[in-house]
This record gives sequence, C-alpha cells and structure tokens, in this order.
Amino acid sequence: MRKVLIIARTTFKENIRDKILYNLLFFTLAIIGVSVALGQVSIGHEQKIIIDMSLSAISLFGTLIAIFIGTGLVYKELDKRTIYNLISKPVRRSEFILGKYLGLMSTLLVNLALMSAGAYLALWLLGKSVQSEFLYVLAAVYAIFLQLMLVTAIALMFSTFSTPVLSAVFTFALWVIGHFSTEMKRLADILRSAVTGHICVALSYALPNFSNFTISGRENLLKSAAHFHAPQLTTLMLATAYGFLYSALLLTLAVFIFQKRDFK
Amino acid sequence: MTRLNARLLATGGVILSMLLIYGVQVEIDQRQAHPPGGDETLYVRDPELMRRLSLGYESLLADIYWLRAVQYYGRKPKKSETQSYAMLEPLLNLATTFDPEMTAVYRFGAMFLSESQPIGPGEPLKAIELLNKGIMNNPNVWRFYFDKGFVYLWHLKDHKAAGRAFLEGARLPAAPKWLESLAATSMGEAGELETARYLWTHEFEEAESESVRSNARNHLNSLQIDEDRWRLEFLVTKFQEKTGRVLTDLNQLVNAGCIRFIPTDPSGAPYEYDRDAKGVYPAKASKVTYFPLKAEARKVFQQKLESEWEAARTAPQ
Repeated sequence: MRKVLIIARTTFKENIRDKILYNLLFFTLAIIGVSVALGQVSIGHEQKIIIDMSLSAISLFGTLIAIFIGTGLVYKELDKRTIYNLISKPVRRSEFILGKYLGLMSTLLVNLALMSAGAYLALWLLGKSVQSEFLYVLAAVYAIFLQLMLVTAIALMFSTFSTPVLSAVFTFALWVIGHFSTEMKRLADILRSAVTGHICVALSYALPNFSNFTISGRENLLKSAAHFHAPQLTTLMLATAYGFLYSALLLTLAVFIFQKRDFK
Repeated sequence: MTRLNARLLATGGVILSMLLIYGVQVEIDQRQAHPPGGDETLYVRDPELMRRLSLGYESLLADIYWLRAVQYYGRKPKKSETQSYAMLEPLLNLATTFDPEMTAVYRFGAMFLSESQPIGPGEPLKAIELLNKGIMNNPNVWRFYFDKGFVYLWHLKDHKAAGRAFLEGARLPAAPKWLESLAATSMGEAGELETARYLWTHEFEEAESESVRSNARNHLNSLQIDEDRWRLEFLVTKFQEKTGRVLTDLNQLVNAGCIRFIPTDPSGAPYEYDRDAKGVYPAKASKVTYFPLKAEARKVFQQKLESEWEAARTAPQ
C-alpha cells in the first residue's frame, strides 16, 4: 500500500503542474462567476440558477479534467520512457495503476473542493447570508465525485492500451452513451427483433450508466440540491455502490491489460 | 530593417488587424440584427426529447428556458413591429417540464400569459392551463390557487370559477385565512372595485419580487383613479341637478359644498375635467398607468354613491 501511496503522491504533484488543469479550473470558476449575473437577470429562482450553473460546470469541467489528464496518465510514462525505471523496481503493475488512479482522484478531489468553494462564494454574494440548506449542495458534489471516479477509471483503462487522443474519444463516447442506458432499455421494448432487444438490454447493463449519478425526474440529485431538498439517502447509497463497484471492475480490467503489455 | 522598425511594424499590424476585425464584426452584427423570424425560433418543442438529450442537466435546461422566457417577454420590438408572444407558452412549458418544482415559472408565466396586448399575449386560458400543471406537480402550493382565481377574476371575469379556485386553495394546510374571505368576496355581492382592490392588496402584500409589488401598486393606484373619477363624475351630475348650471371647473364642486376638496390622483397629478363630455380623466402627467375598469363595475359603485348621497341629504343638519 505504501508504494501505491508514493505513486499516488507523485501523480498528484505531476497533475498539479499540468496547465490544462488550471485552464479548466479557470473556466469553471468563470462560469460560476457568470451565474451570479445570470441569476440577477431571472425573476425568482436566483439561487437555483447559481446552483444549477455551478454544479453543471463542476460536473462538465470535472469530467473534462478526468478525461484529458486520465488518458495521458500511462501514456506519459511510456512516452518519456520512465515506465522502464518503474517496472525495473519492485513495484507491481497493479500498484502502479492503482497509484495513478488514486493520484488523479486526489487531484480531482482538490479541484472539486475549490470549485465548490467558488459556488458557495457565488451563493453568498447573492444573498450575503449562509443557510443551513446550502449543505445539501454537497450531496450533489459527492454524486459528481462518484461520476468522476467512474470517468477516471474508464480513461485510465483505455490509456493502458491506446493513445491519449483515442482514449479521450473512447471515454467521452462512453460518457455520452452512458447517459442513454435507460433509453436503451426502452428501445428494447419497441424493437421488433427479440434478439436485438436482448442485445440492447444487455448493453444497457454492461455499459456504465451515468444517469445513476444524476437520476432523472424528482430524484435528480442536481435538481434536489438546487431546490435545497435533502437528498434521498438510498439514492446516494446506491449510486455510491454502483460507482465503487464499476470503478473497481474497470481498474481490474486496466491492471489485467497492463500486465499483458510487453515493454521490450 | 532595424529591430525597432520591425517591432513598430508588428504593433501597427496588430492594431490594424484589431480595427479591421471590429469593423467586420460591426458589419456582421448589422446584417444579423433582427433576422426575419430569428427571434421566433424554437428548434425543439418536445420537452421529453430534450430531457432525454440533456445528459442529466435537465435542471440547468429548465433555468435556460426560464431565462429565455423572461428575456423573450421583456424584449422591446422595433416601432414598426408588433409584439409577438408565440414562443412564450412553449418556453414556459419546456421549463416546467424539465423542472416541475420551479414555482416562479408557473406564477410569473401565468401573469405574462394572461396580460393583454400590448404587454402580453392576452391568453388567460393558457395561463390557467399552466397553473393547473403547477397544481398537479406541486399540490400543496396554495399560491397557485390564488393565482388561478386571480386570472379567472381579473382577466376572465368569471367570479364563480375564481371563488372555487380560492376556496380550493384555502383548504390547504399552509393557506392564509384571508384566502377564504377572498373566495366569499369574489362570489358574493361585492362590487368589482372592492373585489379588485382586495385582490391587488393581497397580491401586493404577498409579492416576492419588486416587479410584482410595483405592478400591484400601480393596479391599486389605477383602482383609486377609477373610484375618484366615478365619484367626481357623479357629483358633476348632482351639481347640475341641484343648481341647473353646467359645471365649468371642478373647484365649483367644493364651492357648492358637494365635496370638501378635489382629490389628486395617487401620483399627485390633478384630474382633468372635460366640460363637453362631463367626464373626469387622469392627467397626462400622471405617473400611474391607468387600466380603467369595465362599465359593469361602475354600476355597483354608482348604487353605493346614490345611497351615500341620499343618506347625506336626509341626515339631520
């Protein structure tokens, strides 16, 4: 575990120096700033607009950070040939992958904290007061963190066998498709061919389901936060279980692929 | 070329490029200003389709459509254009489908929809439809019933339907006591002026935003103008009956003892008297936007004035 933590710390330091991180962070904070002005254009729901814009920016730019940095994690080591130094040392490949993953996750966590602080600042600027209900927003931030966990795991898995550009394209495509899992199940009902229908249902379960972290309709975590409703605990717990289990599965797959790679 | 000259040339080039870009952009903007049908385009009107494409950001989409509805309603057309509100209802429908809990969208949306031209599309039935959707999605919000009754009473002049809406709202646990009396007032014998004043007073007191409060204040002032006009015109007739002379100046009413003083309108502007029409009108300088009540409303008030006049005439000196 010590080796994993050392790799994680190094990855964290490396990520912190990445310019793309600061660019995306800047954009997020800029959007959060703009939301204050937009909230004032609205009639009613000023706080809701700030929360919606902030959470959407945090989620979207967090995903982009996870994709752009995650897909380059392994490739950079190969490109700079530093991987040879690493694998020549008594470090298991699984420890390397896990360390890289934890390093990026800690970077994302710090980013989420900064972005959330920006969102809270925007809320404070609007009302010049703090309400206890503001804490409910953290539930949505947690759901975003779970989503980023999964995106990072996908990006890392692709980066073990593909180039950063292709990995980014694959991860982004999966992220989009992952929002349509429920629709895929519905599609199965209207398809004439039973076989195609079964394939659709199988795919909807096999592919990562990102709508689990937002939930459509009344239980939508982002919407609940925007209306200052207490989050549904069961929804959060199920999303947590899904996020951890699917990420673990992808990391196992990443380790498996990485172990098969020949660096000669 | 010296290094200094090269730098000057580069700086000049950058400034020139920036000026050219600005010029080109201005030209593009002028060509694109008010493109035919540009403002009236709503590419996707199916909320369900949009919700599925929203990738979980449906709450944000609701905000975007609400902001768009506010901008759309508040835009100022060119003088040659007539204000169209064709997109208002679809925008409100989209916003409330993405987020059915946005209470302000139902309330302000109904207000926007029911206002008559030129300040609104004059579609109170669509406003009722929107409020019914709000009630269906948020059955415990009494304010929707108040707004529904308001639209029935003010825009559709349907006192019974208004009373029913107020009563339904009054049954909700969080509803204020006055909602029940509002139901009684609107269904009872009270004149339109009293009912309207009661309604706008509560709209003013319950307003959550300054724009609504200011609108309610203006309507209350407008009702005051109605009352003043009717009273003064009534006295003009009585003056003529009493003296056999035609009134030339409102101050003659004071001299004849019909009234103690001539009121000014709520903005402080004096009323204007038209001798030929025997009518009293708000001054052009008045700061109140006047929405005159219909003639039927005047009849009930006229009866009240008659009985007041009779009581004053027969009262012991």
